[in-house]
Amino acid sequence: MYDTEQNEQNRRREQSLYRAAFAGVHASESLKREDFYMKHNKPARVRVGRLAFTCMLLAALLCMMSMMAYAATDGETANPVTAVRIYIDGQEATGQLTKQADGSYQLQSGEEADSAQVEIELAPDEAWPEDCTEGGLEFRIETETEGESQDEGVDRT
Amino acid sequence: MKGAVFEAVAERYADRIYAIALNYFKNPYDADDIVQEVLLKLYRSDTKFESEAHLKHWLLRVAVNQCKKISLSAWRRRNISLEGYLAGLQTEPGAEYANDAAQAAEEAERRNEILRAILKLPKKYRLIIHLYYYEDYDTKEIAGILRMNEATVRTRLARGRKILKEVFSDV
Repeated sequence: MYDTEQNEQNRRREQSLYRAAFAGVHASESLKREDFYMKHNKPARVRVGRLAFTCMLLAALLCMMSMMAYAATDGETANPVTAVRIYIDGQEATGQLTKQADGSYQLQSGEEADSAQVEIELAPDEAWPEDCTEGGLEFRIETETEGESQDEGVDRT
Repeated sequence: MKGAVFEAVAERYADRIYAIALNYFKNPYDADDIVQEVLLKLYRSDTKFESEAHLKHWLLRVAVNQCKKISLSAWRRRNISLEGYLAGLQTEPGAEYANDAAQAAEEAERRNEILRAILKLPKKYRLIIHLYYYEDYDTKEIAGILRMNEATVRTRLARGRKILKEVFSDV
């Protein structure tokens, strides 16, 4: 009991000395007036977190690089086909795929003058067609894009 | 908060916020910046304070947060001489010394000595000691304001008080 009272007395004495030490510590007088804050009350800036800012920057960079690549390759980046295999009635055939000036592709099977021809209207950002019909022959086209094969399955009966 | 209510609160709490910030930075200019920032936040705030204790807790919590934030800033003022500041401090020796200038000067010097010793405490003890003695908070309330474990607060408070005990016993 004595200890507790003694401790409390000590605490009060220390508190009194502590507060006395800080008695002379004052903030500037101007800081206490409202007119001071009216002058400084500018609208708060919109704060964007560092992570969000970095993500936005990377997204913008990626977008810019894609646009540059798209422009530099004349839209080839949207359809990066590297090889085409043509099958007629289940048999692989030789053929030629030619890109037209208007962006479409002309597929010619065989090298004979009477060989079948298929014209594929394909915009630069358009996927290869699922099917097409031309000339009574069964076509199957396999396209190979960068790094992987893709079967577009163009069938005709 | 605006108008006369704001001015009254600013008048009541500016020195307390300043004391906390001075304790944290040991730098009067940074302390003034903190007071300005905290009161500006109050001025812009729409918070409805339920009581005086709520308001005090809010202000001290914002002050501590602001201190931590400013301490990370590369633009913070550094290398201010604390001795120069303490020498210019207008110490108020109290009414009981009004008729004795020599004793008043002695008392002022004694208070400066204590303040100097307090500010020499390791940083991790200073805010806890300040909230305990100056603001009269218990360890649970201090833990809430500083977002710390109460056991840590208790340990640091005990160690800080032990160091200060020698200072207090000398005066």
